[in-house]
Amino acid sequence: MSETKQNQPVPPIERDIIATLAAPGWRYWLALLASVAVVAWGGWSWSLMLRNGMGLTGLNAPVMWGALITTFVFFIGISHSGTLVSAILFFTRSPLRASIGRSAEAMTVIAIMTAGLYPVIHMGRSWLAFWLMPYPNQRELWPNFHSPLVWDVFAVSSYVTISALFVYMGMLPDLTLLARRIKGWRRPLYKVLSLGFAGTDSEWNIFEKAYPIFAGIAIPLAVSVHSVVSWDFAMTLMPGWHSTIFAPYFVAGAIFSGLAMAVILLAFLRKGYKLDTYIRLEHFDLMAKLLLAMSLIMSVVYVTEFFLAVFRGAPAERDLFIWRATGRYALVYWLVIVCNCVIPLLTFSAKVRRHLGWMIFVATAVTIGMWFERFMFIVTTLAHNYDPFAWGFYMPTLTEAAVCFGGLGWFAMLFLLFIKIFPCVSVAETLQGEPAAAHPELEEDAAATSATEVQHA
Amino acid sequence: MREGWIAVFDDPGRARDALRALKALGVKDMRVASPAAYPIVHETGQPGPWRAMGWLALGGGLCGLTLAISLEVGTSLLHPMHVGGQPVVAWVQFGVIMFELTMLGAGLTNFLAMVLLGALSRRRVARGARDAVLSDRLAITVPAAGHSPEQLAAMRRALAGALAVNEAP
Repeated sequence: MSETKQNQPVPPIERDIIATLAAPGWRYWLALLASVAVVAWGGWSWSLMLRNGMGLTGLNAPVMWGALITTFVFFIGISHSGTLVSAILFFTRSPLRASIGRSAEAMTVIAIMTAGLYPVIHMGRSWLAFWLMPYPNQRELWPNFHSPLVWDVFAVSSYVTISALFVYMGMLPDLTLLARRIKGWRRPLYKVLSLGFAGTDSEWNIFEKAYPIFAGIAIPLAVSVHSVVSWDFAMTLMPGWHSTIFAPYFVAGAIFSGLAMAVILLAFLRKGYKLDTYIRLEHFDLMAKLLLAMSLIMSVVYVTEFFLAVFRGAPAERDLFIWRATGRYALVYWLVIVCNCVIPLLTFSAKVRRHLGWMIFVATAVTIGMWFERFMFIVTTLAHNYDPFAWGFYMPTLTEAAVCFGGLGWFAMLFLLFIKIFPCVSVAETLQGEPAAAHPELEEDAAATSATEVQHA
Repeated sequence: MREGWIAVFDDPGRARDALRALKALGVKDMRVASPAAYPIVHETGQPGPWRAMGWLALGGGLCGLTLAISLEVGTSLLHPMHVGGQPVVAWVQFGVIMFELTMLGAGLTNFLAMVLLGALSRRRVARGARDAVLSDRLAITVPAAGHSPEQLAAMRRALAGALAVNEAP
């Protein structure tokens, strides 16, 4: 019998993914250069803060938390959607996962890496950030485990670790396959990173047992990390923050903003890499429907918050909510309402949902709206507290704004590097979906196998 | 595998048909190497260490929980401080970090277990089969020792859909 034919044409999915890893064009370099420039601007501004102190920010008494903490909460929110959505799509066996799962998971890891920078920057004396870590030390000090801020350290650290392993684990089969086709410096890199995965039956069985466990861990962890971030605020007795609705409100907002960012990234990925076959318009349609659902939930939350504040009979809270809509930050408040509640209503139209330009517009509006939403509830509560004598006003300085934009540049830069170094669509999962279409009987087998596994589990 | 064949396929459907035909002929201990988790990877019936995965993750989770309790209770008792009117050992407040470290322990153990058990189990599949895997190639290893010439001929016929059948080293 003959040997295996070595010069067979490469299957379309692998060919297309290898094409995304090829030498980038001028648009990619321009985007990378722009993001690096913004990072450099932010880095320089941070260095100014390190050298000259936090006086360079607009922070004051009583507004001790401002744009930096806003950006932290915003990026935690962005990080929320990727792993959570990917894990949910995995459990629902959605074909959508093969196309968008990898990018969404990468977005999670990169966003949380970005978010983690901001509490450290906000500290001022960033070089002492390690004091937050619990280890025996000569100072004989331990973190205060009663504090939500320390819970945050553990929640964010756990989430970034699990999310990074989740995306890496899903990539192992692809790294093995691509290492056998691709040339150049990626081949040894992929070989090492694939950890010897060879696709044997036992490995796949182990993988298929381990992956749902991981997805099962990732979902509650994703919910917990944003709940814990919400408790940074809700555990205080401040008007506008001290609310039982805060954790689910944060989780919903996080899914909302994360989805919007995923839409933007996937739209550019589809357009830039011509991945129309994998990232299809019906995927955007589905994401738009989810975005719309989250927008409606957020609208209900905003109305509920306002209604309760006005009718509960707590003067400070009532005054705060009215002040948000009519006071010095009214522009921010109405921008939030327009971006998060009004513009997403456009996605009721199927034409908008299936039009990339419109989807980018809606998603960008939501992203901007969600940043300002975080800004609004953080700053207005501090600026309009119980005591009228201590009311204040805060406006970020240019230095602070540069550091915040630097985070956005950092996020974009890491994502651009990720999609150029690693496959942005799952090859193995796409392959797994292909024969099912060509051989319907295999799909039945797969469904039967899945059912058996679930019963076994 | 000391004596046998490595059959290389370019279609998971044909590979599955061949595997089923071989099973019908009474051939045992076949192994598959595949680029994706096609249903065929579940049909070899090979027992393996994967049944332990859930228990290992649970063990890792319990280790994480133990670490969290030790850290929180131990350090709080080492330097007792009353914060916000809470008791020194405040179980409700400590619950968050217990949860986080339990999940972290379970996740890390799950990942390590997958890598280690995968490394141990893959050695049982002939290297030729493992190396044959590409995005459009999957391989079945077929033990051929101890079969009569008639059986071998039938087994060859069962592998007719293969792109290539090589002797295993």
